[in-house]
Amino acid sequence: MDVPYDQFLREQVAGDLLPASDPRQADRQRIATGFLAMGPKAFEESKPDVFRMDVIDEQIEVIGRSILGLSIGCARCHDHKFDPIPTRDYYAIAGILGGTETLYGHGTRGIKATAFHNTALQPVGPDAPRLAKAGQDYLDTLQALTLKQNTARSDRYRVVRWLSDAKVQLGKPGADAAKLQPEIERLNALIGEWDIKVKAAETELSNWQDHAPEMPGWAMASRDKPAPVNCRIHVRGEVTNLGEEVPRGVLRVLPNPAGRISPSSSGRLELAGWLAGAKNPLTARVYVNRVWQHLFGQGLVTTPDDFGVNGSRPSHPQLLDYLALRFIGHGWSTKKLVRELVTSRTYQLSSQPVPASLAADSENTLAWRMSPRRVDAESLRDAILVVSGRLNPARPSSEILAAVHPYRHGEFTTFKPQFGQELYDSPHRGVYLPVIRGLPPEMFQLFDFPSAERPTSRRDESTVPAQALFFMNSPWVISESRRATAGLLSNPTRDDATRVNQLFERAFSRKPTPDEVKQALAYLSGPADTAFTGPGHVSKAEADARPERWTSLVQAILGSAEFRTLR
Amino acid sequence: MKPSRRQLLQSASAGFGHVAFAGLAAADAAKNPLAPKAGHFQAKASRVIFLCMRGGPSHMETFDPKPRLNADHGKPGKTPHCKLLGSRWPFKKSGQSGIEVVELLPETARLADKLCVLRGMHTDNENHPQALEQLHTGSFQFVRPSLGSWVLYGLGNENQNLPGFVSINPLTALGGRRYYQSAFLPAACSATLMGDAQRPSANASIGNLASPRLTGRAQREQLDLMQSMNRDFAAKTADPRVEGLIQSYELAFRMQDELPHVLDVRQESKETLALYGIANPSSGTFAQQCLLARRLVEAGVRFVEISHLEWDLHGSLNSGMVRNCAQIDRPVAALLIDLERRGLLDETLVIWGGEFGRTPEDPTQDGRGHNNKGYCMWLAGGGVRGGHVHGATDDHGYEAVEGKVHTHDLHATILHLLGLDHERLTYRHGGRDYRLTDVHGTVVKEIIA
Repeated sequence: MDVPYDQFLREQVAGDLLPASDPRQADRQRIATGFLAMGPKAFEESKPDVFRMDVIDEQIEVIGRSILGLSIGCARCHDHKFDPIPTRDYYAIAGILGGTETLYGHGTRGIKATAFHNTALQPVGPDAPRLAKAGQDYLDTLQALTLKQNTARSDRYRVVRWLSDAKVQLGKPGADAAKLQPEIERLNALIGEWDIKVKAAETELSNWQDHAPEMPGWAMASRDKPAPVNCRIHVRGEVTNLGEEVPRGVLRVLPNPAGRISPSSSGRLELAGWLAGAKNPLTARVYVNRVWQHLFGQGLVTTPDDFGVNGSRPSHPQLLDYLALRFIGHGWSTKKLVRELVTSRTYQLSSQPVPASLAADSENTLAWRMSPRRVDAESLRDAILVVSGRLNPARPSSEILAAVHPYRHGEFTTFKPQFGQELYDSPHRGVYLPVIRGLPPEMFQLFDFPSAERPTSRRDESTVPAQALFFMNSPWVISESRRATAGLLSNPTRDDATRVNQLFERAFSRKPTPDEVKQALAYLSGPADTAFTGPGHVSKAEADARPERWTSLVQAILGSAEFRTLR
Repeated sequence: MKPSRRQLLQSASAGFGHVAFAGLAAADAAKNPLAPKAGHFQAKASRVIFLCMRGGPSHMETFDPKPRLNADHGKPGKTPHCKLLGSRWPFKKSGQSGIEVVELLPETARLADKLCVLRGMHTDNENHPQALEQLHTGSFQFVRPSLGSWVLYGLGNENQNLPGFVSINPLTALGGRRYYQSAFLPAACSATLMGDAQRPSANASIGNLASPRLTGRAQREQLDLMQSMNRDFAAKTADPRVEGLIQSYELAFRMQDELPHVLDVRQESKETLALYGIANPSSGTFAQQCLLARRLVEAGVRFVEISHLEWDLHGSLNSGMVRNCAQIDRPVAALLIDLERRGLLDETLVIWGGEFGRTPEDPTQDGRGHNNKGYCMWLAGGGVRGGHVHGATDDHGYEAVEGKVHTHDLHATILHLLGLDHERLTYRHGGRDYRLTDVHGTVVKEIIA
């Protein structure tokens, strides 16, 4: 499917407000507005106004950086220091988003300070109209009962701690037993009372869970509040320091053919139309630059999130404009854009260095060759699974997270730290792995997977010893290498030279040179850790050592620069 | 004429690529974010050990005596239904400086003349996650680089065989990873995490540090094969990063040798182990962390953080303070003594403290609430004035009133001691220059020796 990018943006920002020809489309568009709801939330924040403005700020920041390549968020506390974005414009957009109800659900289960949070979610699916009301009521009660149970448990635990303190005091020399003994008895009795209360709360919750009604699907989403409101300027970004009210609107420095926002509209639809409009000079440029970066390793503008004064100038300004206009002309089709780029001469250039060009432009700013680049974390994981023969390229039939960690509706637990590692067992591609904020799998952490808390336009390409240790010693790399070895050795009629060929083709997509074959065969015949008894005589030790030697070879290939580089 | 991609890939001529590559490799070495570099001016300290007291230790029960609070014990506090709660333990004037230290910390008190106590600390948020995040990164609203990452970014690492920023038994759940990450700074500036606070272990280590199957000799042989392929590849592609990769494998190989030695505290003398109280069942884990911290900075690691978790004493204040102080007192004192006798204290800045302090009142009368408006921390070594008290809270300990030091000021001062100007240590990201201290922070000159 090649959803036109302008339509995609309209749906992300205001899908709930767009016309839909059938309920399926309506659901799809509503789910798209999860874009605004999925940002990180500071659930510990105790001031409702601060929380609300932080949510809006996160939305503005993400919209600004990802769609427009502008740091609008800078104007929250003062006029933008570099770009023509006054604080007034920030609060004009804040007004639009302030009229939006963000449906982010319960957050972490059982957090107390959520009294002011709206825990509703968007019901979706064919039966949503029929099931939503009972489902939402069930979830609300579930949340209340969970809180009640957790509170009872922690209150009981407090008494348990008092009791253990009292016992410690009693055990000390010179303790006042006459005073402590009755206290201990009193606390024991109190714990008995709490046991009953805790049990009751647990039973109540568990009974409630046994009677869960039939549920619709639930999605994070956005919808308009009943009445649109303007936002007042927050002087220096403070919720307690309110200045003048600003009419809802968009950035005034950019063209806005649609004009004013009607008093009865939240303005979100107009915001979406403005962002995705052909007259917006940034949206298409920012997008084609991202696609270019994705395909070529670095963008024509090397600061994809910042097309402002502080961003870098495009290396090929006319090319950027040409591509942006073609893109709009082709109906914002990503597929056509990609096809045009990958069939270009530039894309088909070799990564081979040319001395004169290298001397003139060592950073390859002018794209005289294909820049070699580091394979990212997900692709590296997938590539290892390809070599080991374990990759399942199909889309998983159900959510991977649900398979590893079954959860019931409305139950969002705090994930256990070791949980992330279990995901490695999935043979599916890395793009299908769930991203749990603050808890990326070990391999992703090591290989520059970006933080899931903020938009990241370019990944780091770090080279740290922890990555080397991972390839040298990680049990996962070793087991995948063993798996690859088992596959290579499975056909007894093949000779080792053929197997080396097979390994190189699979890992590097090329045949080995004769020297490389020779080097690999020499390595394979080298002395193993176990005793080697000489040519012509295959001992048990040697037979056992052979697969291990192959495993070492595979592992060396997986850790090599060539395997980790795209060129 | 378009060079055929496949042809060239297959027939790489090592000649010209290699020549060009040599120059690029030199340029890349200059880009190594961990190469040691000079600060902005002469540094007083070159390394940091941060003893992070999670939960917020009570100032009025450690380094900030409040006689007036004791006198007013039981009277109504500022908050409805809360009574003032005096401290049950006396303080002693200690050392020549006469700094008052609670009697629960007798070993630390002996070293009072080394301590520079900041009694006027304050910070912006009274919740643990935000306050801890601000303590570590300066911000509690946004994901920002950790203090240790900034220091590593500013100064690099002295020992290229070891990580530059290590956090032992860190809290990784509940967003804790954010306290130690480099955010937008180069990823190499992130902390190397050893162990996990949820399973605190005296034997915390780094992942994948030893081969589960190859001997050192066999692994060297394997590495030689890989490095030979890597060198061919570097020549073929003129990609300067490949040289960095080759070096990182060599560093990792050396780390396998060096780091286990650094982490192996059995190499310490019996006297040293006894000094830290390693064998003591209650303080052993923390003692081990203190000793590891010394061994790491001694080996050239720039920034080490260790944690003690249990200071959030809303209830069981009395037993909790006795337990916690007993767990940290001897190990912390031993760390200072050990650093000094090895000549390391002058250049090692030791920081003790938590994300905030406690309230002087509580409804339960055996606990204290969170207090971000006034609390204490102390610094030692690394160019700070020993035997010095800076700042004060009010008579009851509610708020800092004199010599106030905000978290941003503390950060500015720490960077200053390391030879870094907090206003000049910047990183360009998302269109603007970022600082650890954002637009805040004043160096507390009074505490610098």
